[in-house]
Amino acid sequence: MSQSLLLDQLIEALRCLPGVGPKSAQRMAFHLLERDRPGASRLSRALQDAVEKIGNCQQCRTLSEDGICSICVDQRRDSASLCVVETPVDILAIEQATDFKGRYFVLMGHLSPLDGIGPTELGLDLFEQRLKQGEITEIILATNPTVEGETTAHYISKMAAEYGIPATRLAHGIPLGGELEYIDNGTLAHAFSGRQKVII
Amino acid sequence: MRIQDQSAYILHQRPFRDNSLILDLFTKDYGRLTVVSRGGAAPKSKLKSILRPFQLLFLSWSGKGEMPLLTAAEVASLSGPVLAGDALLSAFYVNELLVKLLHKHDVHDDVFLLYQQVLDCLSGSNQIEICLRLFEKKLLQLLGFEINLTEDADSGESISVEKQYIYFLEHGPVELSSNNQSGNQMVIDGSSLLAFSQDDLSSAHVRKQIKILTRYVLGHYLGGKPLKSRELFR
Repeated sequence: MSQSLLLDQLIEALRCLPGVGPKSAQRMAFHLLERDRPGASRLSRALQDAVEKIGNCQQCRTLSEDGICSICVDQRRDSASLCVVETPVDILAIEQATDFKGRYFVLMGHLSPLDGIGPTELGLDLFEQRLKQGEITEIILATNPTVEGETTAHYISKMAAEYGIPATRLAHGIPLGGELEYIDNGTLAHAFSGRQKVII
Repeated sequence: MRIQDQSAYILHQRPFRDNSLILDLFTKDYGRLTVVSRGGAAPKSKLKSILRPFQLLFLSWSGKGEMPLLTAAEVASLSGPVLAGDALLSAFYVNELLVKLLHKHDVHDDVFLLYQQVLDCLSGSNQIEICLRLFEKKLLQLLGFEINLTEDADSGESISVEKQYIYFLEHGPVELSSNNQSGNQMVIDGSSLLAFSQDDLSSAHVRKQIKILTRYVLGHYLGGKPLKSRELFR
């Protein structure tokens, strides 16, 4: 199938993207070369710049091109409450959905001993330094409701307790517009045990 | 090969390709094995709430080779053990032990039963340490590495409450004397050995000594590989 070495290389390189198999990679490569060469140059420059310049924020570990990200720099945000998330995308989701005005800490994963991911790999030493500074008065644990996410939340809440900082966990519940009949048992059980008083 | 509704636990799972999962299973009749769940990690997959560790499942899979394909999954019981907090951290430790000590495809229905017992024990009590020590003891026993707790391995005499012993790997406890004493040995009280042989871990002193003993013995069979889950205990 090889027409040119460079073309093969490009197709192979495109396959590193999620959801891209050999066929789609081939289609993308031909599209870029046949129809959109300026677009291809733009893409390659953008990729190069991003890879070279985007690093991790020194305070919250999210992706950032400056040493400290825009959220950590922003003086209007409340530095007393800290929300712990697994990935940078989670920050985006919370920013879009809620009016949270505190700051974040990104773990870049969750505790998973069998994958060799322990507290050090999640930058929890950095996290502990922030707790030591004494500015934080609430920690919101927004790790995923998976077994690993729960474990991570528990571990962090124990750290917080050592410094006397209260920690809260996101609630589990029925999705808006959901129907009880179709909800999985685990979620329903959590929602039931975490029921709240009706405000009149 | 097609297997239907096999009792199984997920010991570990990791993402595979876009939306799939590789599941490391511990099953009742087929031991440890790896299966692939195609689409198990898709954003809206119904399997996500089912394929959770520490939950007894009925799994079906088919296919030859190293990695058969998961064809069906069901939660076995609606009221399984609920693990939270430190019990959850400990359960990860138990899983890591099983993954590192059991060979794939070796059938261990007795260990499977023991695993169910330790999960129940962890979920039901605040005596996490006792659950773990008894699990370690019985696991070693079932795998053929039983810790000798009742007899002096050299003289054959019964362990005495008043004496101290040195525990030698693959050999057993030997009475401590001026001839065999050196710096780096596993020294333990006879009373602790006897208490552990009767599953009695009510004294904090015994628990402390037995923890060091089981760690020492397990470390040997783990080939010196450190257990990552120990880092979870602060």
